[in-house]
Amino acid sequence: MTLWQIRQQEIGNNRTNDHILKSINEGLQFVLQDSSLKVSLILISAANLFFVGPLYVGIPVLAQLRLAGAVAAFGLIMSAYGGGNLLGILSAGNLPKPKASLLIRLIVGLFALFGLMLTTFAFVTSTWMAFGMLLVLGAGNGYLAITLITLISNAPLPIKSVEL
Amino acid sequence: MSMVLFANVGLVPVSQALSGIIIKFSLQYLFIGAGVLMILLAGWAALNRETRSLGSSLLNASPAD
Repeated sequence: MTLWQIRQQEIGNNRTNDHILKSINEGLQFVLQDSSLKVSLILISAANLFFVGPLYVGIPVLAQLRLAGAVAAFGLIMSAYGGGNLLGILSAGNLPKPKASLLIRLIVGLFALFGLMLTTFAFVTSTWMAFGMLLVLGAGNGYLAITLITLISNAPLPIKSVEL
Repeated sequence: MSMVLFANVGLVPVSQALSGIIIKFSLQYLFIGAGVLMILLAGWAALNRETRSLGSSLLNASPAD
């Protein structure tokens, strides 16, 4: 609904009548032209869909119901997630870039690890166990975010777009 | 890149709304369901032919190389 309400404003002498939804559709068509970008978009979108909700909705409820010192425990384990992200981002920037085959195994392995850890959260009752798991999840998330976004940013334009 | 960011930001409220609905039934169902779906996604990615060529196509395209 909010996207529907957006109207593009005139900038200088250039005025485009394209609606924001039309621009989104064009962006989608652009991505669908390239199999690498398409697979990347599916992987990132699906992982985001399955991961973000349980993390930001499930973890506070978990802390409230099962962890000793509910609010303090929530702050502690979310700081572990933030610290893990920082470690992952620093690692992605400083470690040597992996080879193609290793990179795909790493991405798939990290997704599987995320899945295992999310499943394990269903049974966690210890704050320090949750702390350790979120530290590892954060590190994986930070590393993946930088690695994947860097790769996609460096990808060339699909041939059809270049011709246009 | 903009589509990746759009997918990321656009799916956050959807994911949180679904989590909110599922958590009303059970906290365990939420984590087990999300975990199993992530594992299935990893399995799909491992078996998908396009995913296997993803790394080489993107890495070879990188201007940094």
